[in-house]
Amino acid sequence: MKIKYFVESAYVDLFDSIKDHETLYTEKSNSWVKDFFGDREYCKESRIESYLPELKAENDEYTNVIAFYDVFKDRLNPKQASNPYLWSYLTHCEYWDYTNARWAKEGMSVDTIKQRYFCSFLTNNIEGNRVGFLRNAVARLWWMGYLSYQENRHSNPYELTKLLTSHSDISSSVLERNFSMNRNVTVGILDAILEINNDPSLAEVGVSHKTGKYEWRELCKYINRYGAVTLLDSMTSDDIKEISYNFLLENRK
Amino acid sequence: MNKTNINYPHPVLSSANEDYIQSSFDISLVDEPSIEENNVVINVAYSLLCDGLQYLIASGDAQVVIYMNSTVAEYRQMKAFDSDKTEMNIKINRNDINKSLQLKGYIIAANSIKSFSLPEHNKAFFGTVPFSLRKGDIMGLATHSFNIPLESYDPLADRPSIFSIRKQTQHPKEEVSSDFSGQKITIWLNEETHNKYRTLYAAPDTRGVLSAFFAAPVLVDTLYFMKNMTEEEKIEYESKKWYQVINHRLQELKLDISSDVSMTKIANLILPRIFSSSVEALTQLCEALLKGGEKDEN
Repeated sequence: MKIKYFVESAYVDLFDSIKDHETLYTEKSNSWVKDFFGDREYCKESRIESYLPELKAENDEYTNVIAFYDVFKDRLNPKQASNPYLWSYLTHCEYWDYTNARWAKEGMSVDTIKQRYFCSFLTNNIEGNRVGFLRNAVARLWWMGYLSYQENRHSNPYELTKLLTSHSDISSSVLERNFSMNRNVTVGILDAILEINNDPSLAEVGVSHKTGKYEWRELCKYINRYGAVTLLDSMTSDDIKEISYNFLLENRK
Repeated sequence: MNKTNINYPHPVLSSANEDYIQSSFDISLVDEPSIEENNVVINVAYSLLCDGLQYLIASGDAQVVIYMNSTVAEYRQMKAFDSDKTEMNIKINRNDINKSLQLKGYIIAANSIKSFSLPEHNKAFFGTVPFSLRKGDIMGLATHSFNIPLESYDPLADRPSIFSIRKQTQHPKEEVSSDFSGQKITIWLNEETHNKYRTLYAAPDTRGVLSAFFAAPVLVDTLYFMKNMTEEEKIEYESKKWYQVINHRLQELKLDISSDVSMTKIANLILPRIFSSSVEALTQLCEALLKGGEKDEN
């Protein structure tokens, strides 16, 4: 089947009516979405041909990322995946049950609706923004796969995805920083954490005994500062891994 | 990645500081970016006036690079010039990027440099103290950067409206306002007006008149905004679809808003006859209403 997306006018009207529909976003049923549009045409078929994989809120994020990205990694490109009309259609229509069970809660704010059901993080911009795509309930599954999947990784092409999804703070700390747009940097950081975690003589990367803060957060801040003076994009993932690994161990002293 | 206001721990060649004397570095686009098959093709060149850095580039200790970024598509890459060339051809798969592509030029350390001191360094700031550079450390920032819109207006394609009429949610007391920050010019209407607009819009006969009510004055507003734009604002807005459409129309009709006094006149010329066509639409609507009234009487 061809995957559908919202037409522009329908998307804009739905976005502008979030406040009016605030309580409806916690409903189990999405019938209000079709009622809102009435007889007008609100969606179109894209050129993307695919079935929709099942997503279950009771599964962990890693399982859902693999379920979704495995199907769409060769069917969606980054240009298509940065279209808010596509993802908003999926969260409101095809994946309402999943989005509702996974993210909806009583008293959910307009900002939360904008980022989980649309692709706008802390903005009124209907076109969405980078972090918005990383927070949308369904888009995030594709983008986390895209930024961490490694076809040629010998053990498991999703090995870094597993680490990324092991704690919600790792994914936001790493992916919501601009340096993660360069996959070498993301892979280098995650590889360093993985190496320490796989070393039985070292404690896993987690909460620092010294500072009480997440070690990966301190690492990401350090890489950010490093990137203020140095062009991180000139480095290989191994360079970034070495810098990250050394920082993490040094930070424990 | 904005590195315009950073105090680096070593001299950096930049037009924004005085770390170097009688030196300069910049990048330029050789020609307009184009699409070839499935790729965006960009020809970039650089110019460097600094013997010290030239020597490091020739010896392989430094590189001139182009940093490329398309944010919503999570694209961020770097490409280096060959050490003996000042021009480079860049090809990017158009499906890997979206909306716009930012280009910035840098000179970076290709390896770590233990004793970095050049005759061109400003002695008043640095004396003859040598610096230690890590691989990748920034040594130069190009004066200019480029923001290339990727969804350029195609005058042969069907033209969707450049206006978007939306319900005002942020400032509910504002009856009407305009906003140029998006790809379309947004006309914000308060809830009451927006609901009435939507109801009227359902009838095709009313659309011409409705568009004149809102789009015409906002278009005049827009033209004044464009007329008073600074060079920086022009660069910022040239990726916006509405800006491209209006600019293209102005060029097509050979209109110069900087010299014309009446933006109302220009608005009526460019889209298409927005004032005079609305009078025609109102006339037709009234005729249709009168005919409907006659039928009722009969």
